[in-house]
Amino acid sequence: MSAIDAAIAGTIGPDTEDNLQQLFLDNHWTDNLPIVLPTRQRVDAMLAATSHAPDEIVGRMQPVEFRAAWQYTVEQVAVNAVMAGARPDYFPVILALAASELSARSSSSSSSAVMVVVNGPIRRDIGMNCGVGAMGPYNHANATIGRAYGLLSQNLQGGSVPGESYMGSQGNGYGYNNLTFAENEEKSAWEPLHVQKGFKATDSTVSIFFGCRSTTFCLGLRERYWREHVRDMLAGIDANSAPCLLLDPITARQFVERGGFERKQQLIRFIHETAAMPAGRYWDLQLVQNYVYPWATFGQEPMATWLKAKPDEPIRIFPEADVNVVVVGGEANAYWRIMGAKYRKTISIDAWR
Amino acid sequence: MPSVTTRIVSLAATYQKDDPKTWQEIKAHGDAAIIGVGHCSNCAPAVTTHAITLETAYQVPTVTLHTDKFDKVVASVAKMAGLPEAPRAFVPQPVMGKSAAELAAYVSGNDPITGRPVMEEVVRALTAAPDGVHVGH
Repeated sequence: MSAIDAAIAGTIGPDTEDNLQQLFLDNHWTDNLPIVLPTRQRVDAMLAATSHAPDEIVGRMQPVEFRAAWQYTVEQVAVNAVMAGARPDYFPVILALAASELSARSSSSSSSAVMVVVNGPIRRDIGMNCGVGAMGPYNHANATIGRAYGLLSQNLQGGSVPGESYMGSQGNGYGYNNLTFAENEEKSAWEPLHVQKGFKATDSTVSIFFGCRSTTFCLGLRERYWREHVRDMLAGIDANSAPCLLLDPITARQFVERGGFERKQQLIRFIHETAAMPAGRYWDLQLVQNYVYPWATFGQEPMATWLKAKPDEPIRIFPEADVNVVVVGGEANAYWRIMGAKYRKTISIDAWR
Repeated sequence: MPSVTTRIVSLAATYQKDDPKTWQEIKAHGDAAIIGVGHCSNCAPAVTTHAITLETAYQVPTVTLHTDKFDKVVASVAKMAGLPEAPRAFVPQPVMGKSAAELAAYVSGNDPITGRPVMEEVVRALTAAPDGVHVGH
């Protein structure tokens, strides 16, 4: 019996807090930080924050493809939400993350992590941070929602134990809260991420990105060489992933001023056209050999066409559809980053209220 | 084994897809299969899954070859697929970046999990009945 089932069934008997913390630690049910013990009372308070029944199936999750997928209920998600220290009013966000069926504890030997972007009115309702320090440990909702996503992933997919069920060779520190933050929609120069993905501005959503192994960073956009500087940054993003621009509002406005990108899609196209590499060098990358080349030989476009390029012919390595832009930060400066992270999906939070 | 003819067959595309055409070809022209090499967290489970498909859906005796780092992962995949005794042998990690001579030495060397010769494990897996216990352990 897992901790989650034991906690639900009440079969973990009374003991000291220290002993119970040790029990969870010894069984690999935590992220090795102290947890909030999932007492019946706390789990019930979490369950009261959604209209969904405790035994409703939320989804199935697996650490990588070709590993078994495990099924889980609303109540099992609630146990993990309590353990992470989340407040009940965050629970619909956590359920939406669980409903994504995307694991935040991928066993990829590349040590991938996920990034979570929250959009819509719920950001304000539960006090999420999208301004100064949004991606750091400075907001209770950001911190515990992201941690809950990690705990529910490891505990509900059948474990995540190094050398056994987790094989990320170096590990990834983003896994502590899965880079969970809200988009700064109010200060953005463009439509928010979830609107771009087909939702209404008044909808509340979570969007999940996968990868987070490569990051490049810069201060603002210089008048003379900003295009070249962006190209240099893009060269540092792993070619098997995709660039997700994380722009402080100041930088977002600079992109509009310097490049005339009145629409977000214009900036996305510029990124697609700027990230180029000679074909010979591109195909020689080990990541590309392993994960792109087989699809190209199978005829998948645009990679199949890239195969026909001469070795010195530049190819655009990131398809336009894979490039994303998110505005986050508090205008303390024009710092911005490009995260190597592929967009996976956007899930409605409202459906889990 | 001079009486055995071996042939290297590549998958039609990526290990992330099932490959019925290749399995059919192996069944039509071969007596047994060695599938590999599982050497990462995604490909090792895929190699095991494809081997179980070949063994159970096509009735081709199949053994998988993996690097030793993934022994527990593939044991879990085989168990969850309903064939915990799925035959497998192991070579050292890594295989990536190694020369042909270094790889040949892996094959003629010992399985790091069992300590027995890799080829002995392979031959035994293809010729002996599974004993209900993972052959490599």
